Amino acid sequence: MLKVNQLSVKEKSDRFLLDQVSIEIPSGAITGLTGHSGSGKTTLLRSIFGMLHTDCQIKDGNIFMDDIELLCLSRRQHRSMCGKKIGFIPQNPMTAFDSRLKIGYQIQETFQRRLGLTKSQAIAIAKEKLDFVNLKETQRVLNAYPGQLSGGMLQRVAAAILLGMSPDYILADEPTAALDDENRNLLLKVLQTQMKEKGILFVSHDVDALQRLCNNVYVLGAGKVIEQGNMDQLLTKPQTDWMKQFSSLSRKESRGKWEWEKL
Amino acid sequence: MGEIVIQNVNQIYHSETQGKFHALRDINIRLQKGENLAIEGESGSGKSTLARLLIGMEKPTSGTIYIDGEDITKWNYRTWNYHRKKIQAVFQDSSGTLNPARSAFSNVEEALINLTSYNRKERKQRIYDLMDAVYMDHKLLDTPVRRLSGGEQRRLSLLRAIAIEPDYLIMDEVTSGLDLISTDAVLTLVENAVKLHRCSCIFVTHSRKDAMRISNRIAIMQNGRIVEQGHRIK
Repeated sequence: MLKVNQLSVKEKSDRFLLDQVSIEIPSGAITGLTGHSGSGKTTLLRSIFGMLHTDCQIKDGNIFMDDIELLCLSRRQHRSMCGKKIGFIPQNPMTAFDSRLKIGYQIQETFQRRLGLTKSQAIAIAKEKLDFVNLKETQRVLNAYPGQLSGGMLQRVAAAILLGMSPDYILADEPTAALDDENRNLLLKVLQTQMKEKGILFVSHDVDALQRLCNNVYVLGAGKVIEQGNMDQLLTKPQTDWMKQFSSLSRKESRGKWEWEKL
Repeated sequence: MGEIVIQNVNQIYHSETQGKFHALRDINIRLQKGENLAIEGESGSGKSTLARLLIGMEKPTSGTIYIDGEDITKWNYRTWNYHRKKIQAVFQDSSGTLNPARSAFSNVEEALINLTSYNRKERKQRIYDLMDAVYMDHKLLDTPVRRLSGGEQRRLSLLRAIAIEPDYLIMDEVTSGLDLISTDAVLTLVENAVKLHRCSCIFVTHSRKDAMRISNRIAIMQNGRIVEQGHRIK
């Protein structure tokens, strides 16, 4: 289990980004995390991953992964866990890749270094996993620079790397945000079926996905856990103002009838 | 006059590694002043490429794009700068369009200084009003942009574009990754901009729900083509 216990993170300006946040991410389950933008979701993931901005500081609390206390590790030890033990699907895939290097080289280098594979083995796995996330033109993707692929395609490349690395815990920061319906459903299916033994923290605003995937959802507001429970429960019996507004908007349907014409 | 006309636009990329790639094929779109068009499609279908052509970040391989009767594919850097107030764009990766080291206020104010004739007091009031409209705390205005969350940066970037009251607003996935409440605020802000300033919008998205809310017309793209069009029946 990945356990965050009473974690507080402060900015240099003394603003609390996280205030005594406690969450549990058990193995073999998908735990949801939602909240308004700026509520601290990404800061929480960055704290677990050891990637906090230099102007932020952990003031209090601890993070346990199985029996290891992550905050007691050196930067190097923490770094060595990333990818192998904890995987990350970033919110903004454009900045997650090195724009000067081809996608193929970046995947291959990751697999070679982290999994100790040979070049040909790494490329074979890369092709297999890219195909898995519906990037069928694998050769074109491998030969492309990040700037030549769309946001949704880069997000799927990040998911393919994660499939290859197969870490024990996965932090998915709005992984479906840049995806169309077909690819979104595919990624959700991959998370549900291919990663069912893993402990996944699924950060999202996608109500349908949170309902389908997660038994337990945490709601963050201004750096604190303001609600927790099953998504259906949170929507039907919201306790806080934010969740009440969220719940009413999730039921709002589009107005009017539409006429469609194939071209 | 007063419209965007896209005629037979094709965009082909050539690269040593990938060969020839047809990103847009025979795109034809007409958008009247004050009208909203949503462009929906799967990732990699050419939506963002079309948005980049409309604001002059790229020139099409063939075809023409008219804005208010002028062929923008012939505009040079200087002409684009002259027309910058007329056409504004907000992109998926908004962090790249803001100065991370400067405060949120200074990022928005700079656009108002360069492109409008508001005085200091009016600029401040306009920024405060728009911050309220997108449910953003005024305290955030003093925060450096790098410390804002992804959703806050996106809203700030849209707020900056709307603050200068453009005639045309091109938005590429502005609601992706935002929570329902922020999405609602962003869409309401766009709806108001359309109503108050008769601004025309091209709204690129992969969300059918957002597309249906913001516009009366939706064009669906697949592999660089518009394959289906829909309109709201009154």
